Amino acid sequence: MREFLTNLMTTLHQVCPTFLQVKPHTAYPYITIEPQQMLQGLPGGPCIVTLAIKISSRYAGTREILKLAKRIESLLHGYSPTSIEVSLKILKSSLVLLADEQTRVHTFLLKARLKGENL
Amino acid sequence: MSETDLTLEIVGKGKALPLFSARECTQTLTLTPQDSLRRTINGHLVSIGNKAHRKFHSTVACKDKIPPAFGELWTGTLVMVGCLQSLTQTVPQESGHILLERDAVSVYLYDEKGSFWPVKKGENRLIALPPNFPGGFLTYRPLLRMVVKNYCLETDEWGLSVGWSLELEEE
Repeated sequence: MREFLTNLMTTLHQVCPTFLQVKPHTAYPYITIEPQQMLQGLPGGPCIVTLAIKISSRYAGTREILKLAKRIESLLHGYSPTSIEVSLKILKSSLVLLADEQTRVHTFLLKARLKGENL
Repeated sequence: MSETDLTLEIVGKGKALPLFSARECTQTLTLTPQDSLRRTINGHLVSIGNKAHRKFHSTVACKDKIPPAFGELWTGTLVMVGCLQSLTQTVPQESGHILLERDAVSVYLYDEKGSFWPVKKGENRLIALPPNFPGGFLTYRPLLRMVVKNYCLETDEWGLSVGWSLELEEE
């Protein structure tokens, strides 16, 4: 799981700085990867992970964030690391303007299937 | 890629599941009805079915982005299916070997406490068990030679999804 998150983080870093945990005062735009659920049905079986990839931008308007989202989506479609066997499926995406009326967050909700060992 | 453990191969043609066509598949395995149950004169229900006619019926379904390669698939087409659905057999203590009901894609052996044991796949579905195996279960994903009965494709254009289902019966 850790190897997968690190690999995904490195991949998305091609687009803009990507973090699992954002430090205070990080410059915009940036991406965060937020695992929401991880379940391995059986020991040694495949692991299903639900995660959100959030792009945060303070650009005035939607131009920057939509451009970033398009690049991220393209990277996710082609995501095929050599070191781990994983498959991604984008479930949905959303774009919201936060209450501060400056920060836009584009979220991709994904499922990842990490191949197991035994089964 | 690790999209699915399911394998589907059209005999004589090749693989039928392109990328983005088989994520989150489901599969059912059911017994093909033989209409073989009869009541004896004493009222007991017995099967008079032929052992060679014990076959599986299966439906595989999925909702993903790309349709599978069903273009040359018709009723009666032969396919090899590496099933998602596992079968489990009881393994008695000190049985030495166990014969699987069907060919297997993957096999794993575990005792009643859930600990996994190594297994050696022999020939003709014969599985050699470890010497000290205390009894338990053997679970495997069967590899079935099946005949296409029907299939269904459906596209949700604005939902950006393609759904499909494939109905099969063992040859």
